[in-house]
Amino acid sequence: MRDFIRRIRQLIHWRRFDDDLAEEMAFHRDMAAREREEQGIDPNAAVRAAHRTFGSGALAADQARDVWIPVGLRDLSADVRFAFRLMWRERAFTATAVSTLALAIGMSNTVYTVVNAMILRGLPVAHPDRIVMFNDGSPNSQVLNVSYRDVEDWRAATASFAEIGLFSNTMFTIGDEGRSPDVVGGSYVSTSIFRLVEERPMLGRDFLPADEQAGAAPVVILGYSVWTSRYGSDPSIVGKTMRVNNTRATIIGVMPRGFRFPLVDDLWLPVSAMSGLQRDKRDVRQFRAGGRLVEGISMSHAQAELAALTERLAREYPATNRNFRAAVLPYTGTATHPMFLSLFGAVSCVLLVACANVSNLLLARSGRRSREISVRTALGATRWRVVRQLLIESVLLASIAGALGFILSVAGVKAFAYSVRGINFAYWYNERWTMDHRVFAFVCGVCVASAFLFGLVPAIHLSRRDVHDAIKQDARTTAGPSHVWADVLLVAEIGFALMLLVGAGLMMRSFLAIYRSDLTADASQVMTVSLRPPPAKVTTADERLAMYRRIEARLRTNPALAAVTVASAPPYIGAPMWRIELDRRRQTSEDPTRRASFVTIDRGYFETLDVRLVRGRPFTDDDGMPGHEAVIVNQQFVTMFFGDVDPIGQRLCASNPDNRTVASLCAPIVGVSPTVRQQFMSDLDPVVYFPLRANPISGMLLIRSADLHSAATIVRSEVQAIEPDIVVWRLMPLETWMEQSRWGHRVFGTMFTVFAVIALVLSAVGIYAVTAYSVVERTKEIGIRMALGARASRVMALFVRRKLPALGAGLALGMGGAFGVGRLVRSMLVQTSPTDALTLTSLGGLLAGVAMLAVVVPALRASRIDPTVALRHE
Amino acid sequence: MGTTVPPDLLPGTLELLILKSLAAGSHHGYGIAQRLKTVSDDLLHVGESSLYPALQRLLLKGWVKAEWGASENNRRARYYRLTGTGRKQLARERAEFDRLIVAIQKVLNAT
Repeated sequence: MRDFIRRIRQLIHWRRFDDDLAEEMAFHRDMAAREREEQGIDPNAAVRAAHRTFGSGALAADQARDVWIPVGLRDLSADVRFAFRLMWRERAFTATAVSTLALAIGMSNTVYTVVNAMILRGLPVAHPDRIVMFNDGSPNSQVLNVSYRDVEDWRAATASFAEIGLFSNTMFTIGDEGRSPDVVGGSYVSTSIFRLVEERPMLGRDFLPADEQAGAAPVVILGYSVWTSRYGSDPSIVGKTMRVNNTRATIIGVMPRGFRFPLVDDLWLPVSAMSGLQRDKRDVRQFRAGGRLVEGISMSHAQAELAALTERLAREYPATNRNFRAAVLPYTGTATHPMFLSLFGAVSCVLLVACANVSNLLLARSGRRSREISVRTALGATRWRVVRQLLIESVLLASIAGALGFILSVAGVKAFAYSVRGINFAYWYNERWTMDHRVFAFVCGVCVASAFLFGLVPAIHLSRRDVHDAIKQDARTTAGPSHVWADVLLVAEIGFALMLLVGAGLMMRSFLAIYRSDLTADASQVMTVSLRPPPAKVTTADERLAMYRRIEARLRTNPALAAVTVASAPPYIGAPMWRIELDRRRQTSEDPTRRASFVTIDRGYFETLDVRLVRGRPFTDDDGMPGHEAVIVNQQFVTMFFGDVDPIGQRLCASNPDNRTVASLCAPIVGVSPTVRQQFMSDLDPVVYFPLRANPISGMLLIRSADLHSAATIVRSEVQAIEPDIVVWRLMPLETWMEQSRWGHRVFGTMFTVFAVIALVLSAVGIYAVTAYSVVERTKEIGIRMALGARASRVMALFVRRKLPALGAGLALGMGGAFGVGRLVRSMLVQTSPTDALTLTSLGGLLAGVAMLAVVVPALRASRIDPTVALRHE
Repeated sequence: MGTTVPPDLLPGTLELLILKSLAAGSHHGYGIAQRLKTVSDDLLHVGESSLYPALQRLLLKGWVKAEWGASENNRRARYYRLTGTGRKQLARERAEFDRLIVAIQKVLNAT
């Protein structure tokens, strides 16, 4: 260790070291010469003798130096210096290679930073990788509704879970005397919910199992934001009471800042406070559930155990559990997960294309390098030494590119953050687009890996060249094995570029499909308004219906509001999927799993959205009354359930698959609407619209107005005027909901496209460079050919024909890969087949065209070479 | 003609000799070589190409220190001086060396 410090100190004064040593040795030699002189030897002979005895001064100095610097290190620094000089001498090459790589590394790092923030870092809890949620086992499902009894069964009969918690996300009205009420998002939870993520309140106590029992005294735990905004961070809040909906609950704790588990919650109440809680009915599935795995238990083990259990329960309770299945999925495995991973795949393709490109450039340059390498070999450099020298050059290139790429990625991450601003992510994503040690390690890893990736082939190729051949003959006239490698790289480049293009093309088609379908309704002048009546005042369905009707009537008299209606769920924000059964006599095929979005709407819904019904009639005020049953379906529903049969007058029954206690609704179809998107991201989007009166669950107001800003003020004051204790909130343009539901396709589609375009440009540049280089290499040969009478077209064909097999093979392999890409991104595609013929052929054609252009342009230049100039070319 | 150090010297011996010669007082490289030559009755000629690397090794180990000073004929020369650890090292190596010589002699005298 002390040695090490001395070494470093010596290295700092390195310049002085050489001077000192030289001076010291000169002194030695002088003294020796003088001594001989004193002995009477001729001065000149004395000096020569002294020199002879001294031996090689240079060798001694080298050895003295080697004491301080290990030999390997000295060679390394020589290699690095040489590499730098070379890079400087070939500035054009260096600039091309570095910018190509920097672009690719910059993009990879951008994506990695985002993926790291969203997926890899995981939940900010103690054991993020052990937190799971449940779904029904189908591929794209994220959600499983469970009953209280289901979870009790699971707790009793599984050993994989250290904790299972259930929750029901809802909105709470909170209020105290003398202060206006607020609406906050929160959940009814089982008291195990915080133990599930091993988190504790920062103030007060956690829920106790007793809090969950029937008849327990009402308690509530506050989220940090409620505590600060509504209670001014009152440190003595614990023990006070607050009104939550219509009960008075004791505040027992405050959760730490940033904690909003399980969804985006700011308030938690035990399930015992939930009105309508069904503890014993297996088929009233009011909750969602999550769990924490026991340490050492794998996801698949837990999955197997759970599957066996649900199977058993299905046999024991066929009436309620026959079709109930559950599967485990990682908590962070949200809908965007495959999106990010495929993005990562895409950016890896760009990186590979860039590497192939640089590799090809290096190979093309190898003709020029081969003489230098041969001389090195002839002077005794081992093959390893040569390969090392070449790899050091590659690593240096990659490192410079990596540094630039890192800077690029900072900008890239900023751009990503900008493009998703305002999007509501799950709580643990927010504001975390930061780089950390993992990102840095990633960049370094990518640099080294890419250096080997693009550097190894040229290095091996160069070091293998026969010394004699290379020194003897003009290496530039031969088409050696480097061209085989160049073709292989070309094939890879084109293949990856095509895969990327197709991936991007499919994403863009889906994205356009969504945008096009979103033009069906005119969302631009529509806003949503949520109403929150005091829970004690409006309890029955009739009261709720009356309330909506009163407010609608009042608002409709206001000339500033063009249209007013109520719906259980506006477009784009999703809706529960209900089971649909058609009148059995006419049903063409029996399929009990067929479902459709269930939405209740009031009169004026379609006018508000500026949608004309395709057939039939809209609802009247009477619809939904006994004897006046009616239902409107959308076109997608007709296509799926009726085909070509006229649906008007047909009866259908809709029932809630998660809650058998809700009566099913049956009605004849009176109208068909165009397909207005209801779900977030769905290929098939069948919807049944029932009259509000038929099932007056809580909903939202939809208001059309040319001036949404003043409409918001009007709605607030009008509602306050007739219903002063109703909380009016979530006044949001419908376009905001729309954007929330499709940002993924916008952002990811754009990113995919950017990557694909860059890959296209890179491969075009690569093909161009390689062809142009071989033209330069073979200038003399071309000159000879032309001097002997070869026509320009033949010279051109010479180059084009050489590249054709590689281009063809690249396209063919890329097509094969594109099918794979299609399968990978299938879950994100909307109204687009993963093997969409138009996308495949047009993008394949585009790439083929661009590649051909990149070959033809330099080949054309070759055909215009003046033979007299070419023959003098050296 | 004397032996040129180091063909076939035991490893570390040259360093030991240098340390020993510096024990009498600091000296420059040429002086060390001279001292070794005279003390060994002209038997040990230290090749300069082994002397200077050896001196660097001693510097690296911290057993000697180098300072620039004026030589006897008033030229700038680098003087080497034994450090405290160098002195300790000399004692240790010396004992080690003695034991080794005894051992070698035992082997050679064995019948």
